[in-house]
Amino acid sequence: MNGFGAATARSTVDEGELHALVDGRLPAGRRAAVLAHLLTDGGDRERVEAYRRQLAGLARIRAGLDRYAEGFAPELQQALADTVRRVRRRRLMLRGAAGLVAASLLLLAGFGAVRTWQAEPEAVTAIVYEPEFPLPEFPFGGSLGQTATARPEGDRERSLAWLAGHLRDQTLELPDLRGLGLVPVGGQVLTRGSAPAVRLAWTDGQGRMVDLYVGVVSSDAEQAFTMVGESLVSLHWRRGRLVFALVGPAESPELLQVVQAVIAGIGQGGETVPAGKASGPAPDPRPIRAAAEPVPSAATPTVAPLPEKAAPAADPAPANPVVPVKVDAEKPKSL
Amino acid sequence: MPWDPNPDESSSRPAPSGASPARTRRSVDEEVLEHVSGLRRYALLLVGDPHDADDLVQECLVRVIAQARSWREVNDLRAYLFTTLHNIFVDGHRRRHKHRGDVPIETVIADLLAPPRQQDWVELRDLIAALQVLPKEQREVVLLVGLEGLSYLEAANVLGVPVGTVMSRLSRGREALRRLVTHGATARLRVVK
Repeated sequence: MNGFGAATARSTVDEGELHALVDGRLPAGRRAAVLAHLLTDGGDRERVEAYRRQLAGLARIRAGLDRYAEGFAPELQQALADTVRRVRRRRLMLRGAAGLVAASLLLLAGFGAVRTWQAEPEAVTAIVYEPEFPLPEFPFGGSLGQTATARPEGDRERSLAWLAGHLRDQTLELPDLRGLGLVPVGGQVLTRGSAPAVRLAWTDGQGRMVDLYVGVVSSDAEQAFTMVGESLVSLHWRRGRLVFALVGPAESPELLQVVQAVIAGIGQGGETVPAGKASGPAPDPRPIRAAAEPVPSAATPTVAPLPEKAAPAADPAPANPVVPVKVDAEKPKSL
Repeated sequence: MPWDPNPDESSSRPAPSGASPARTRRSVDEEVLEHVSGLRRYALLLVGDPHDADDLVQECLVRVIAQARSWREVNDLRAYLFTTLHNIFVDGHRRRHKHRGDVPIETVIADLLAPPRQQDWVELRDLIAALQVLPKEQREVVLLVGLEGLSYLEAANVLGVPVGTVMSRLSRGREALRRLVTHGATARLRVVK
């Protein structure tokens, strides 16, 4: 069926063949018959010639519009580019979420498969999940600041020593923050993250918690930090294999000084770092993301230096304000 | 039947430029950009207004890119793009305003052409004016086949109609164009969809 039906009964050549001839789509076997028909039918010949003129006109229009068609308006290009970026970002987020859901389902499925396998080994089916995009790692597990009101029950030196066991080429030293009015209250090992990590906590004069999260990552994968509440601010940065997150009250101006103190004491490729083994060429602490003002670099400090003598604190602080932690890098220690 | 309007064109014609089962994201972007010119050209003659045409193309591209479906499912990207543009055009046809400028649309479009000879300019302007008078169903087929060079089967896929319908609309559209160009744009058309 070609769409013309009885209208083509006047000849052995139907209407569709005339248009196919015009469009150059007529099979070679029918070409002679159609041309012969046109020799005897002046009306069809006139129509075919008119259709060919139409095609020639459209071809000239097409050629004439090339400059117009290829000159996509700049503002449209920009709008399109913005839309593409927005759509892709949303798709990446959706895929990341979908990947997490899929991973959870696979875990459940795997658990079920193991149980099935124990009963009927033949019923096991291998399921391989291959995410299209590498998923980010969450070194500290759940949302930061969720425990901001809870004092960590563990010991901070012991927690930090445990974390230091996972380091190979960097030092860890607890900064003394009593000069900033922060009193250490404890530490704990974080077990829900994707990397060995600890949480170290201080309180300020008003009893508000300042948490420092430190993790040791083993890959170059993107590190994701979860959001904190409106009353809190989080500062994130990374140095070598160490990732940091500092969470504290949003209106606290001391947070940037805390960052500087932490940068000075933790993660430096200091004297204990063997030559050539440092993860970076030079200390260059740059926060990955800061919700507050940019953190000044250690080379050009814009804040007052930390006091050398510790201020009196309610909490029994150690005599030595800086607690060096020996790094036994070969074997991670367990608490 | 002496001639089959729905042949297996894969054996006699090159595959559509968009056909690539192992398409990657980057190549899709490049392929989409390759078809933007054709989309703009087709849209301009379809809607008759440069601004509406660009809006149509823009919406088409955004919708295509935002599709959640996997790009690998699209075997013929050109047909997919034109199909999307057709659907948007049909959806928004009623609410889309007509060209309300003082200058005739055929003059607006003809002015966008590279400067042709005077006689050519008049002929092209008449042809553009006649295209704007055609029912949109016939105009789509005439443009897809005559302007963009789609096969009858590809046009049928783009428009979501049988190949026979494409042939019928093509025949009526071309005949209407012939009469309009011969007798002037004042000739009345019997609207047959």
